[in-house]
Amino acid sequence: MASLEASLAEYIQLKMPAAAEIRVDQLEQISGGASRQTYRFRLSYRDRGQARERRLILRRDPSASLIDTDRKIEFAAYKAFFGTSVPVPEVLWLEDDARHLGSAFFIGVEMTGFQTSPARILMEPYAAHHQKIADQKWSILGAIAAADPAKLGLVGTMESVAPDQCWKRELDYWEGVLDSDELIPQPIMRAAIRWMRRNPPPPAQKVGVVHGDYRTGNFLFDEDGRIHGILDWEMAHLGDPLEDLGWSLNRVWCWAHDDRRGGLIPRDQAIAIWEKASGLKADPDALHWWELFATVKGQGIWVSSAHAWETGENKDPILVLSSWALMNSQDRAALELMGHLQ
Amino acid sequence: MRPRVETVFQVMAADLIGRVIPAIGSSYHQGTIGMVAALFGIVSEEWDRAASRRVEENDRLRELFRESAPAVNDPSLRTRLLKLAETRDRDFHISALENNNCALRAALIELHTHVELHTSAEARHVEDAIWAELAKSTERRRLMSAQF
Repeated sequence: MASLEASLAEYIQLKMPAAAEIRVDQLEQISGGASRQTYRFRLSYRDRGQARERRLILRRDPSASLIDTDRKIEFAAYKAFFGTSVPVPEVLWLEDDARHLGSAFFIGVEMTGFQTSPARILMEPYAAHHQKIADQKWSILGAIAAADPAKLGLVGTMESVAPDQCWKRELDYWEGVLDSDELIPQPIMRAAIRWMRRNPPPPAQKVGVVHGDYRTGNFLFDEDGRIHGILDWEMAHLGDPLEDLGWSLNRVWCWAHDDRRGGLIPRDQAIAIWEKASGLKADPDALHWWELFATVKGQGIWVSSAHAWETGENKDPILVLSSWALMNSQDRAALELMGHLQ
Repeated sequence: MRPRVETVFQVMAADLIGRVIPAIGSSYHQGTIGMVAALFGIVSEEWDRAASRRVEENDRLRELFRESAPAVNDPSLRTRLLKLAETRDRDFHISALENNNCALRAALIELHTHVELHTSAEARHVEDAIWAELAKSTERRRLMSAQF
């Protein structure tokens, strides 16, 4: 059986037929979101006699993952936003045929020298730049909300939805995840879902691109507090832009163990930055609904990760850790939003 | 078991973080061991309280069902709640306590759904008691390392 390096080199030769002496080395698995196996590697080749080298990323489907996602949508989102005011890494090739590397995958360009870790962002020198990071974080989210999915070429790739159906489609989906994957009853989440169905939000101001997992931990930042890339678009879809804002404010991302959202700034400040950048209004009642939805979606992910570990072949510790560490916090976040946290 | 399980896991977690992780070359494997250390930390915190918090919660839920029964005007649900209120934890294995807890929490969802639909003062009283118990249930499960 060929090594992953050899298989990668063989595949890239197919994509770059004019290149000579293609070689893949320095292959290393890295943490890169919970839904795909992520590797970095060095590609060396000769182009018209000139030696070339690129640092690339391989995102390969695992046997089971934290989130069931479609790699085509993730790839399309990266491609759509590349070169816009929403910084993303360049992606190169998408491959559905499992015969090349054992499962479907895509390859993109590695952005080197940056951090993503929420633990790191709390430390110096990054801690000195929290306001600057937050300004960019919620401004970029505003830019995603302001973007036109049709102009980005994402309509058709991503399933369309009517403005008054955004909430229902998402809630139906994540309630379904709880129905199928919960290992223990979830009385707090079930109460939240009943309340949400009795009190639906107004129709979306616009149907936009929703990143789906926009939070501290899913962007690349440097020592000067600059954000260089938004990552992990595996849950991207069309929907109400308030969904992303609500998710970004989720209490489980309060990494500093205080009220600062994303471990960075207070909730109200984050909302103000987003409103300015998006040109949209974060209606308090509508945003409250989407923040509560974020707790249901979060619990859906933690529940399905526990289910995947217990019933599947994937025994990655992140599946257990996310479940053990976050489920109760997610319940508490829902209780707080419903006014029942003592 | 001596040394105490929670202490062993605490020390092992600290050892993984302080001694093992720095000796690992791959950042991916460092991350994996970091997660294992975090899991050890959670086990150390949960170990000693695991049975106690389940017994406490199961008793509280049975008490809640007993108190709530008069406000339930669905005879079938009322009968099931009263029946559950009469159960007891006799097997103190965590798995057995957990099974009982699941049955009780599933019934709690039914009770909650039922009283939400009624406007009587009794129903509101039961609903308040349910919310109070749900808040208490998250206190019982709370981890020191939790963000919230």
